Amino acid sequence: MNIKVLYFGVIADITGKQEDSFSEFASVKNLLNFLENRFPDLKRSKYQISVNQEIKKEEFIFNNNDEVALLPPFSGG
Amino acid sequence: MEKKEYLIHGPIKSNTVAKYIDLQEKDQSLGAHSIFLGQVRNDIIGEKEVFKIEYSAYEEMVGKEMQNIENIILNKYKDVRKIHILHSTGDVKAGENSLFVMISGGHRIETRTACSETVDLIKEKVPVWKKEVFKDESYKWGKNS
Repeated sequence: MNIKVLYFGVIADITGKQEDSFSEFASVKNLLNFLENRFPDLKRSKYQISVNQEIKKEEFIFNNNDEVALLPPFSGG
Repeated sequence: MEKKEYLIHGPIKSNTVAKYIDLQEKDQSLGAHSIFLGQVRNDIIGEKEVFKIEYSAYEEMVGKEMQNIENIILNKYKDVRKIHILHSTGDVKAGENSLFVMISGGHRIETRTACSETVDLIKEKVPVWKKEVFKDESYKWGKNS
């Protein structure tokens, strides 16, 4: 399962990059477990997950070529 | 349906706003336009003054969310007939405008209420982030109040 992961706002500061590609994760939960281990500051951050630009829960199972994004609280306007 | 552009690079200038106002002359059945402009404030954070905001956006999702907001407003307010929204990306200096919302309809009351609700929905739902940058180039990620 190939997925593209996008990081925005303060989350991109924490990961030090704006995007990643992975093939080893089946669900949002698997991906987040990995990322929160690799970047412990993520555990203290508030964020939502979108898959193909729609907000999803942790249980969501990826499809091939999904575009996942970690979205910190919005602050537009 | 034609894909609408909601993002503009840099500040929203008066000539852009004027263009949207002039466009409405074609529709003579409209009776009211409510306009909201969001301006970048020179907030003092700690002891530093905000010099500019750098906006970043998840562009593809912005389009979808803006479209959803337009549908919500058009379904709820039957007198509202046109919605125009522009949000800045990139650098906008203190004093410049970064958000433009224009709601056009038959009468004043619904356009006013719908305009206010549209701005609230944009703040809540649209994936845009502001980085408040100080003169010394240090920064702080902004929070919406």
